[in-house]
Amino acid sequence: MDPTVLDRSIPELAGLVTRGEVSAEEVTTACLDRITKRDGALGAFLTVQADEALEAARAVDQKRARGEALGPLAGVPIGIKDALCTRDAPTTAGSRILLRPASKGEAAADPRRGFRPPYDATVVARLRAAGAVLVGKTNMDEFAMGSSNENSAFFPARNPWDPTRTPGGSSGGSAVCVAAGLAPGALGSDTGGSIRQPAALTGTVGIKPTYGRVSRYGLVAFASSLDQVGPFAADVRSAARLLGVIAGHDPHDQTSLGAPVAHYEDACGRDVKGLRIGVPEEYFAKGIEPAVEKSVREALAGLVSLGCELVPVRLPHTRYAVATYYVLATAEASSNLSRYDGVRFGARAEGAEDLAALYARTRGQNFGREVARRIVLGTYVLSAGYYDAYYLRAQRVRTLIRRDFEEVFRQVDVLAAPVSPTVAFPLGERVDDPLAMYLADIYTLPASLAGVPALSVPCAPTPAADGVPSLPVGLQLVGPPLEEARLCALAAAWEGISPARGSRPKVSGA
Amino acid sequence: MPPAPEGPATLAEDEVRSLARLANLDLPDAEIQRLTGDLGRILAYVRQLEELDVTGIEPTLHVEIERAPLRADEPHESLPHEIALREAPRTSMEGFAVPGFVEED
Repeated sequence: MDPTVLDRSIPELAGLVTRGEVSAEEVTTACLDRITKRDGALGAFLTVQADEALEAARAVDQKRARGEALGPLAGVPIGIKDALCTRDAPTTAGSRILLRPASKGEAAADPRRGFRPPYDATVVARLRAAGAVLVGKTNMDEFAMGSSNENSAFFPARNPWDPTRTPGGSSGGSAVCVAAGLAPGALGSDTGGSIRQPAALTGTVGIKPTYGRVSRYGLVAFASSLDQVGPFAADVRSAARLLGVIAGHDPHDQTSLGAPVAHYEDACGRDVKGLRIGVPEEYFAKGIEPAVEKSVREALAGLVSLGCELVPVRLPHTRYAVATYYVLATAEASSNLSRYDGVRFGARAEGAEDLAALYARTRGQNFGREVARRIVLGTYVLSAGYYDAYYLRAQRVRTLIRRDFEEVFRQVDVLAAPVSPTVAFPLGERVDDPLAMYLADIYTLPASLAGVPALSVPCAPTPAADGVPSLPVGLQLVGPPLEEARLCALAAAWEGISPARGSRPKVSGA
Repeated sequence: MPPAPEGPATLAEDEVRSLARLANLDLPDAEIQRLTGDLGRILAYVRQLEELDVTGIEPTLHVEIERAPLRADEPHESLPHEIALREAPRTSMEGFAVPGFVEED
């Protein structure tokens, strides 16, 4: 089989399998082969479940042979962020603390020794039910804390457009998986930009749905008032199909919304003429790289050529988003991560004389630096004496940020803005400066705090210059709650005329 | 201008050490030192939230797009005992094994 079938869109690929023009087993074999040949240099996957994937693929083929109806993702290989529980398959959340203790002769940090969940996350179960073939667990910043994938406890993921650069994070492995053609789709999670930013930096499409639209049951919790699962794909229609499969009410998630799921994929052909697009001036402020701004402004002009109207708008509390986010997210994380104690699963420090020492040593030895930093910061902002000054105040500012969006969506249908102020940055550039890393999340955090849906779709890459190759740039589209279909319609229309359409990085290996 | 929160803008190393203890994190001194510097810089940045007058503004604990439906309160099967224990680093007498935590005379 021609391996370039893996580069087809997800609807096309599922169609080929459904019509029997190619078998799910052939597709999966080609996918696993590509991962073997390409991923050594990229680090997108922490673990690959080859046997289970082939078995799932054969089950799809047998179902077809029996004349049974196949699901909308029949035979489509998908990468799963390692923050999502996959039944009996290693799940690490990028952390050593979720590794079972090593036996003699075993490597200290091998993600294959990850926690084996007794159940599937709801989104994982839904993918399986739709006929998807789960090929492996993708690399990420530890507990989804980071914007460069360098906080993975195992190895960094590399950007296929330039392997000396980060793919972004925290869902970096999922973004690389799709950008490098290792699998046509992947799931990630977005707490403050962890889907949109890596999508932008790797030239893929990534969607952060409305808070509550997609179940988080089985997602390793980071900041529960912000976490949301969403898809990555190479094109909007493919991402829309994935979103359609994973969205919808789940009785296992208390925050899951009951609203009916819209037809995201059908929306991709919809006319966008007459849409009012808000352009927030705060998103083009000082700090954005000129080449990124140029590319995004060209995309805005493209939206006008599609019949949309641009409206300058203001989101005046944008500048407080980073501070608000880092108070609230760290507070929630300090609470959520208290469950890692060396008792019920994962790593355990040996030789502790009492329970307190067992907890403290297990956690001290196995959490990475960024995770420890955020737990301590979260503990501080929640502590007596500082609670009102930091935590409660940040919750009030969050209300102001939400109101900015409510206000602006009375005037416009969608917001269009950059995703990241810069293109993919060199590995190592920001590791010693956490604040600089945080500040670069300024364009993605507000939509997370407001709980509104947002996506990243590629616009023109920057031109190559001074030894720096041409690198992807993302256009961010933000909508009112539950208007993912509108975002898909506009993103698909833009994609049809985008100069980035169809461009892929050159990756060596079949 | 709202009143500034009580307490220093930066943290002392001892304060960070006691926060780490509260968070059940046993960290080496070099890490405590590094954390003290990092947290000081981050908190100095976070203090810009004090510029805003938030009097009378309701806090957002959770964005509520709509009321999330409640599930029926019905009994259902839970994890089988052996599966619940499967991932525990140490078990004893069909339970999770931990060091003693009750003082015995």
